[in-house]
Amino acid sequence: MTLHDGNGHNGNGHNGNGASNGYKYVGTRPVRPDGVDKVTGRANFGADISLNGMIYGSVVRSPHAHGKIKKINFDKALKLKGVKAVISGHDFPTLKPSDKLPGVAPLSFYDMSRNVIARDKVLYDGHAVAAIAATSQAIADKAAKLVEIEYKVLKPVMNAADAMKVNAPLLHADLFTEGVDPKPTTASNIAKRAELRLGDPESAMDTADVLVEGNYSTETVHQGYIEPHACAANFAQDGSVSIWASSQGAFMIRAYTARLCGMSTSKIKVIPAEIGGGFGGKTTVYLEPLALMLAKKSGRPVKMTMSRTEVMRATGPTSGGTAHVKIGANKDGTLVAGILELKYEAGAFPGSPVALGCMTGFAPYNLKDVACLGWDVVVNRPKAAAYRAPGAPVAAYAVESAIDELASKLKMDPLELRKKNASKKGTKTVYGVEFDRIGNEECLHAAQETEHYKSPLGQNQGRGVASGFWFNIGGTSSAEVMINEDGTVIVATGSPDIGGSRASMALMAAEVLGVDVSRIKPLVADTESVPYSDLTGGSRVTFATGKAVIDAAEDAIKDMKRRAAKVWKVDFDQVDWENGSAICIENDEIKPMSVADIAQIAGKTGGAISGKANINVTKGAGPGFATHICDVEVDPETGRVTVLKYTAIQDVGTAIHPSYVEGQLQGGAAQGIGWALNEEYVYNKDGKLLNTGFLDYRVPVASDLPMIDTVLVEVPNSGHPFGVRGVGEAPIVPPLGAVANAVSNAIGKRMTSLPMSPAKILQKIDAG
Amino acid sequence: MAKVEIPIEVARKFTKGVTTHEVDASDLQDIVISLDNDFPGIKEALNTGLAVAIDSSILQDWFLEEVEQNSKVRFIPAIEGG
Repeated sequence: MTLHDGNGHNGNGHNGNGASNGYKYVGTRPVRPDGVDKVTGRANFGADISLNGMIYGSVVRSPHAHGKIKKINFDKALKLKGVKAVISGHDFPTLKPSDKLPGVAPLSFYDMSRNVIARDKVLYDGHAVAAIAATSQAIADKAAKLVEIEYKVLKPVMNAADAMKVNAPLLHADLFTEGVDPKPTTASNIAKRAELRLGDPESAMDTADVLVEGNYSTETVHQGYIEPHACAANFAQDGSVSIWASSQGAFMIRAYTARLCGMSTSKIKVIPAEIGGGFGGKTTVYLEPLALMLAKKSGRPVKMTMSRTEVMRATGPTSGGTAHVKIGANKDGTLVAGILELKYEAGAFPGSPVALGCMTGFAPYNLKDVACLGWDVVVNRPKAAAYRAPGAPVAAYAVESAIDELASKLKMDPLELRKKNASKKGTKTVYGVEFDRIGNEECLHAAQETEHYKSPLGQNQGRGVASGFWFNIGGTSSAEVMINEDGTVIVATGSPDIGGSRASMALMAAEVLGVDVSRIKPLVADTESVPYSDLTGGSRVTFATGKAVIDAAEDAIKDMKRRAAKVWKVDFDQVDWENGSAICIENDEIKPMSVADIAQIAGKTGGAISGKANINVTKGAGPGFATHICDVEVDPETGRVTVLKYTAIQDVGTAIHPSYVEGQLQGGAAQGIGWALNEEYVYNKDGKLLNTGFLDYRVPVASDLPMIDTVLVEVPNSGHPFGVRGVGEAPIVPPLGAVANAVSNAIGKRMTSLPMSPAKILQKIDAG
Repeated sequence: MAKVEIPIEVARKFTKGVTTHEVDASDLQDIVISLDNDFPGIKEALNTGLAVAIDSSILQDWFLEEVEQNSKVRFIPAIEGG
């Protein structure tokens, strides 16, 4: 295990001296290849596309949270000069409930299609009902207001508790709870019951010396990516269509849009734009099918761009939810049992990440008797989408709060209590899997050793710690490594770069090829230029696409060794690869050939040189663990919380580019702090969203936060050639608990509801 | 014989609540077929929305992966990410 202090001092810039980890390029900190374009405004994002003859789309959205669409009248809109096309749900193919994406996690195209554009019912404020294309954005927006829609307004149901009541208004007449036997015969808003169990926690709980138990609640929060959704669609004469889109997966956009619009994937080409943040929220489609249909109807290229208000009202936030947690322990601090029940709001269609909450909540702990029960509940809010470590932060908030309370009852140091019970290699999780080598204990130890944890606190100040876990995943990735005539290298993948992955792809290719990283250009290719890749998400790209890049680089090396053998007239087996050159093993008088040497004569030795890899990484994604420490000061008169100091510690496997790994940790912490303190969807009694902009949906800005310190714990993952573990998800798991514990310790009372607004804190203080 | 664990919800529906089964099979597909022979209909349930863990490795997209005689095989909720 190695540690980086996380302040940028440990690694190397791109100075050619190599990293401190034994690698020459992996672990160094070159400037990201896309950085200059992004900070100078040259990078092209989704809204930057401009096409000849392009017109503009606008979406007509429901002003009601729940209602039946009785009639849509486009007459007035169509009379407006400049309007070129109108569409409603009737323009899209009728899908059946059985229309699902085949595979291990079936995705309902039936639901997705009705989310993209409503059919008979609107299910949340902002639900798309129709769309219009016109020669300017202003005309399209004006025409959208002229569309007359008659609704039968229904009573909305806005939270899980209300939605689960027997007589609650039903969102879907055909929704029957899955996971219960026998299958219910009456519809309800409960989409699914998920249960995980290990041992006999109820009996074990009876043997505990100490019990803690509590109810916790969180609100719907949005990923808050800076760039609103945007795309453009353009039909060719042959009926094929090109889509420019900012997303986490060009192949995902192609597959989902094709299915929703009734087209073959071969007819759709998706060109990935730069992406201004996703965090899971850009793993589905909203505008693309609408733009395609408008382009088809109008015969013109159509661009569509959401406003921030539209992003907040109509794209997937993450689930709000409630948790009931009970933990039992012996007097010496040994945990004996844990029970967790979660109720997550899925939004308007089934599919909250509640099962993942059940799987992750107790993962940092070695518990032989544990049970988790989850409920997936539909409510009249936008359909939940993924958000970093989907489902895990809310579960961790409850469990980590209870652990903090337990430490207080036992008069134990909260990190010592966590260390005593930490999951490690061989620990069996509630979902039945035994951990291989993980870095949970190392993170806790590193946290104890920080200056931060040893520093004193002042008046009205409190410190909180919390742990977090994420699985990390692999998946299907493709890469091609192309050697240019001058020996420079192109690394093409199909994985959109949402967190610095181009830099890590270049570094891994450099390490394998032995070519300076400055001579490697990584790029994100369109869907007709590289084979299929899964979307960027689940902390999979540096791990799985990185593996593809490594394999492709090795394939290119094989080709280059073959060329050298040909030139030297020796057997292929006589050629080895060292420091970026082919060498002849048994004859050191033969001058080695560099990549540039081999590239220069590629035409004479067989043509262009490249290496390819198309893989599905099914195994080896090393789980990630994190421990966060948060210090706050609470103003007892106003309830305002100031975050004084924050340290994020995480087992990151091997940090390929430490700066961007640190950035992932800092970003996750910042988002988690916002979730804990400020962020929430505020609806009125009719289910209308009231805070649709960043002025009143308050994400933390730089002036709200201290510098977030990071400690990179490096326990290499044996499932990856360089020891990579995914790093993007785990950092958002502990902050809710860490901040809540800090505030609770500052005021001497347990905060059980997020966000911890000044009003809530004052109420808690004043409660006596 | 591989030791196979199935989710509680699936067990309640198909196996009278028994979650652990000994299965003589050489790959995951054989395991599913073998279980389906004993508990008709379970195949679809295991093929829908579930990942598989073989010992410590979680397989999101599984099909014909080999299992050892003493492997522990667990069907678990599929994992998505953000």
